[in-house]
Amino acid sequence: MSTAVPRITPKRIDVEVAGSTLPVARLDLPGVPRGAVILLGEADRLGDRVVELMNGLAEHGYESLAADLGALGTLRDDAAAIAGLSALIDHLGDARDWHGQQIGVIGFGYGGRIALRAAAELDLGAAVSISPSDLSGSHDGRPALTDSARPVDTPWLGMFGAFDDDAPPAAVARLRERLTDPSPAYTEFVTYPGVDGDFFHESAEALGHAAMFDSWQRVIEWFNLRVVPRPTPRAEIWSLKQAISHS
Amino acid sequence: MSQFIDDDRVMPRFRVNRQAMVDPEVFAKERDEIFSMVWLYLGHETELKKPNDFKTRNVAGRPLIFGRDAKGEIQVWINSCPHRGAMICREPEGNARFMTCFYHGWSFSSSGKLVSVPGDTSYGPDFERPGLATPAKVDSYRGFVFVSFNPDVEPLVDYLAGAKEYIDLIADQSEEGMQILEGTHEYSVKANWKLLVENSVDGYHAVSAHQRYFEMVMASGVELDGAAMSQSVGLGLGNGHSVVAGGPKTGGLFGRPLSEKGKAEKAKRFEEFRKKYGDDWVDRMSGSRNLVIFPNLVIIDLVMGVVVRKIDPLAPDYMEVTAWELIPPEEGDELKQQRLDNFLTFWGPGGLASPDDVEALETCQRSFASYKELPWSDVSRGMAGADQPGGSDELQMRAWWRQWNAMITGEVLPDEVHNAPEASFTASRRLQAEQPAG
Repeated sequence: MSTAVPRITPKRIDVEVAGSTLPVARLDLPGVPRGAVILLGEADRLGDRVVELMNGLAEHGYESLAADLGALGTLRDDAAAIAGLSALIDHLGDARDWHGQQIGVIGFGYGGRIALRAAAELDLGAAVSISPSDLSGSHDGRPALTDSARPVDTPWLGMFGAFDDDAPPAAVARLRERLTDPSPAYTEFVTYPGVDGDFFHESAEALGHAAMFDSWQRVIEWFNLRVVPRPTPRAEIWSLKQAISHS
Repeated sequence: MSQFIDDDRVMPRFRVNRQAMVDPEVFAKERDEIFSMVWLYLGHETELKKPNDFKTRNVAGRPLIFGRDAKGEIQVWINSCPHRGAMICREPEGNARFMTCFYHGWSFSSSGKLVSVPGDTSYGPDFERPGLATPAKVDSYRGFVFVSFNPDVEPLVDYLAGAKEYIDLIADQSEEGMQILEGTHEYSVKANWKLLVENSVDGYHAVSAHQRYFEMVMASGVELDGAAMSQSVGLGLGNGHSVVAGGPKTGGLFGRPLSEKGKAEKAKRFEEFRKKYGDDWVDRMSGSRNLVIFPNLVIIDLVMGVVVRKIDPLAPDYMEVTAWELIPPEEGDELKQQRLDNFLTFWGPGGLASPDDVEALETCQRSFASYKELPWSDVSRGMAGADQPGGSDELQMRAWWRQWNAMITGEVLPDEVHNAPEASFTASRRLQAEQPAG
C-alpha cells in the first residue's frame, strides 16, 4: 500500500444519527471515482491507520467515509449501528451522489460484525469483515455471529487470524456453514496462519506482514470485482442513446 | 466411396482410413465443418451456484467464459476483449460481477456490458462502446449447456434427436436435479480425439483392456453377472449420436458392493421412481448407458456413477479431456461414496481403467505413422446379423462415423437396417398422472 502519490487528509465532518452526532472522516476524489467505500473501524484498534487505509482505497479510485459505529451510545448496539451505517449511506448519496451497489463496506472488529449484518440487510455492492467481533460468544446482549448471522444478499468476504482467541477455527467453520450454501450471494472465508485478529496492521514478523499485505490486496480485488462503477459522462450518453434506440 | 470410410454392405464390412487420425488437413476440416457447425457441450448449469459465478472453458479452440450474471441467468461470452483482444479473464473459475482486461483496463459486467473505459474522453461522443461477444447460439437441455458458433444451427432439442431420451434417463434419477460434483478430472492423451470417442462406446474392449479393474471388483466381493453383461444393445440415435444401452440388471454391475443399508436406500429410491415414471421407464433407468453426443460429449451412466466427459481436440495427435461426476444430491453417504469410488478407481486418470484406455489409444496413434502401409481400421463387428447389434458390437461407432463422414466429405451413407431392439430398450416415460390407478 506504499504510495508515491501525495497523501490526502480526509475531511472531518459530523453526521446526524437518530439525534446523535457521529464524527466521520471523508475522503473525496476529483474526476470520476471508481466507487465509494464505507470503512467501519474501532477507534482504539485502528487508530491513525484509518487515514492510511482511506488513502489506500483512493489509490484504486475509491472515495471513502470512515467511522466507529461502536461510538453510538455507551454499549455497542447492533440496531443503532445499522441505523448509523444507513445514515452514512444516505450521506454518501446526498453529498457525493453514491448509491446502493456503488458502495462497498469494510469493517474491522465490531465494524466487521456490522459489515456482515449489512451484507444481509442492506443493498450494497460488496462487504468485507476483518476479524468480526462476537463471533462465538454473546456479549452485552449481542448474540454470537455463529448463532445469529443471516444469509447474505451482498457478496461478503470474511478474513480471520488463526491465532485470534475470539475466532476459534470451529467457530469460523460454523459461520462458514451458516453462510456459504444458504446465502443467495457469493461468500468467501480466508484464515491467515500464525497471526492474531489484528493482522491488518503492519508487522515485522513474516507471517504478519504477509497477512497484512495479502488481506489488503483481497479487499481491493473484492471491491473491484463487485462494486458497481460510476459511469463517466461519455458512458452515460452512450447508455442513453442505447436506451433510445431500443425503445 | 469417400477416401475415409469403406461401408461395404455386401460383405459386410466397415472400415475407417487411418489418415483421418493423422492428417492436419482433416483436423482443420473438422474445425470448420464439424466444430464450427454443430452444438457443442460447454458445461452444466449446476457448476455455477451463485450469481456472478464463472468458469473459463475452451470449446472448439475458442476461449469462453461460462457464467451467471448478477440476476443468476446463464451467460456465455467470448473470452477476448473487444478492444485489442487480450483475455478478459485468466482464471479457471471464480466469482466476479465485473471483469477488467489487464491490458488496457476496459471493464465488463457479467451481463457482457462495457462499463468502464479508462480515459474515455479520448474517444468521440458517438464512439460505439462494444460489449462482450457471444457464441451464435447458447441453449441448454436439462442442465446441460451447449453452444454453437453456427447462427443457422437447428434448435438444440432437434439436434439432440434420440439422445434427448437418454439424457432424460439420467436426469430423472434425482428429484432435486442432478448436480455436478465440485472438482474435475483433467488429462491429456497423445492420440487423435476420435479414438477416445470410439473407446467411450466400445463394449468389446472392456474385458481384455480392463482386466485389472474387474479383478479388483471381484476381489471386493462382487460376483460379475455374465448374463446381465450380455444384455445390451448398440443404437444409433440420429445426427451421429449413439449409445450402448444395458438391460435392467447392468446398472451398478461394476461397482464395489453396497451394505444392506445402502442397497435398501437405493431400492427405495427406485421404488419412488417407479411410482413417478412407471416400471418400464425405471427398468431402463436401472440399466447402464454409454452415450456419445456428436461430436465430442460422452456421458457414461453406470447408475452408481455418472461421468460427463468433454473431449477437446488440440492437434491431430493430441487431445485434452475433462471429466465431471454427476450425482443426485439427495443420496446418502454410502451411495455417494460408491459414486466417488467409481469416479476415482475406474474413470480417474490415475485409476485402474482410464490409464488402460490412454495406453491403448496412444499405441494406436503411434502405429498410425504407418497408415500408408496399413491404411484401414476395422469397425465391422455386429454388422452381419439381422438382430440389433449388442453392446460389444460396433454399430454405435459406425453411426458416429457415418455422421462424421457426411460432414467431412458430403457422402451420406444410409443407416444400417436391423430388427428393432426389444421393447424394454425403447419404453417411454409415463408420468404419475398417466399411470393406471392401484
